Amino acid sequence: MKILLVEDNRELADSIYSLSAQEGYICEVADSLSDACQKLLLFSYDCILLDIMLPDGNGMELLTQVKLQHMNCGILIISAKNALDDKIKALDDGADDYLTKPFHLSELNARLRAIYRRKQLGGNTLIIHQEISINTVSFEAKVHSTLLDITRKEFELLLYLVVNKNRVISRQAIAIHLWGDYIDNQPNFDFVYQHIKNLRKKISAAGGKDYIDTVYGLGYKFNGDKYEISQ
Amino acid sequence: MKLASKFTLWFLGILILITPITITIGYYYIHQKIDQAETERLQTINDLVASQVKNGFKPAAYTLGRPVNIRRFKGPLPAALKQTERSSFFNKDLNRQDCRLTVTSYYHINSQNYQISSYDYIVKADEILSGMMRGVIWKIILITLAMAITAGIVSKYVMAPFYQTLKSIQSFSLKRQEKIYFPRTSTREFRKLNEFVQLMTDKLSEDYRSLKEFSENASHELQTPLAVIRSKLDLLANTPIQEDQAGLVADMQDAVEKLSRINRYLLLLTKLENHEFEHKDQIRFCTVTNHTLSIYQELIKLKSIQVSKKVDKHILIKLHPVLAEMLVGNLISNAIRHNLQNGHIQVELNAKKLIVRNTGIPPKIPTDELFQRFKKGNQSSEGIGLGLAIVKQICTISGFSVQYTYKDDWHIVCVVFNDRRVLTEPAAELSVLQ
Repeated sequence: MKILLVEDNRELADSIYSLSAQEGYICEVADSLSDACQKLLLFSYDCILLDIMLPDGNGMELLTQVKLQHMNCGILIISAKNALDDKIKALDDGADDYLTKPFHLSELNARLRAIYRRKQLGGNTLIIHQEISINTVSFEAKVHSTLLDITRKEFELLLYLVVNKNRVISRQAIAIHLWGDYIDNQPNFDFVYQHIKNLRKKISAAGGKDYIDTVYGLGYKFNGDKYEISQ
Repeated sequence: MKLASKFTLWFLGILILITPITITIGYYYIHQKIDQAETERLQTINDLVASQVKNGFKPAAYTLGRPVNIRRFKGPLPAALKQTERSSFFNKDLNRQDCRLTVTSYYHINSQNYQISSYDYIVKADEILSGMMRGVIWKIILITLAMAITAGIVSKYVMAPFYQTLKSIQSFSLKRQEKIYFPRTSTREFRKLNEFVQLMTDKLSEDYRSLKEFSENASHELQTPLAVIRSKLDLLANTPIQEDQAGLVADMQDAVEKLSRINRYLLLLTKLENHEFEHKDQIRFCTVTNHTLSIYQELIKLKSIQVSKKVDKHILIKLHPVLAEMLVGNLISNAIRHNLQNGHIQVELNAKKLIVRNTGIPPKIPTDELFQRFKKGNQSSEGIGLGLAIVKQICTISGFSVQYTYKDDWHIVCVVFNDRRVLTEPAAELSVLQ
């Protein structure tokens, strides 16, 4: 996947660049609107990560331009503005998704992947890892072609873990991914543990291996290489 | 009381106060003038009679029919050659008190001493007074009537600029960001008022704009560093680290989480205070309530909480959907969070109010204080203490009232809706779900 990152904050751009490197994406960084326009003229990208507030203008201008020229790239807005109106406006104007700062890198990754699946992979809605296959349209997950009897939240959790394969995902990131702002004033994230526990149980009941690792006090990791190394 | 009536009352008060004084003064002068005129007249008569006596005429020719009394007397002339005397007596024929003025003069004519006195009846003091009183009463009645009639008309005309100003202020809205203009007026006070109001509203608009700008800037300025910290921590967590380091990262992640949450809530409160959530459409409050309950299902199960709900259908309320979600979400998540294992939650919604009851440990501070920012039942708890402040703020700007009580082991939060924002459809049904 080839990404154009339009972000004026160097440190944040570095973080996203690192994420891209780890995930094997090609990422180019533009720190201003003019820079981004130039890059768009010369190259084509699968996805644009676009900050709205830029030193030389509003990121929405770029959005309009991309839409006018019918460029086939997904656009993910990353903005500090979290008002509902801003989100609605951005989505109306043709953005594919809207992520509010501060975000978790795993969340950004999951959304990038989702846009990529929709935009570039066309009908390919199946995500497969070894014996596990996930259908993002019918919301079904199978292990060795046995349909897993999981709730919607558990499905989303599994998808989130698999998409962020080999990444450590914090409990907070999982909680926010599954419940959004509703989780705000809960004192701990024990319920994440409960969900993980149920998911593990259901996968192993269907004959799947346990890929989900607990990483100290940090969170969880879908360890894709687990059994390849030990074998 | 209207300004015009106030002025009228003051004027009448002064009139009533001053009238007796003017009556006294008027009475005194009239009385004096009458006496003086009468005395002068009688004196002239006396002088005339005296000169007739001097010239040897018979005084009878002049005194005929007049009450003049001439007396020759021995002895020296008294020191005062002219004496006036008034005496009042009861006149039986007229059946009233009468007043007589007698002027006595002394003359030395042809080496003889004469005393000539004449008298006349004069208008009595009481009569002057009663006449004046009658006039004054008429005067007061006429003035009062005239004022009562004209006050309304004149005040409407004079006060017109004032009411115009009032109307402008009433329709002024900070959100619309438009200046208000006043028509020119010749009344100095109103001109001053208009100038002042103009200045004030301009200043308000300016302050509001800068506050809005600040809250937007603060959002951007704080969210970006937070995003940097969060992303770096994510990256750090993905490097090969040891258990103790992982513990440190986890603690930092918790703190950043809390920080970003506080930031978001404070910004939200500012936006609420700025009334940035105006909404004209109705939302289905019942749907919002049911939806919120279903979102928290997992958390409810985790604590084995029993939920009973009594939510009427078709409750339409004029409220921004974001605010409605936040209001119900905060109340229900609080009810879950501060609940006991195997506790209970009761949610009741009807066209009048929303009540959320939950079991839990008794509050340590007065329940009213829990609506204040950063006030927590347990100061060391993980929460940020802004949830109820937001509930309160949403209620305030929507004209709802909210109360938190603790009674019979139940924490009860009751939100009473503003009638003007509620629209109910008939055929409300009850649905009871365990």
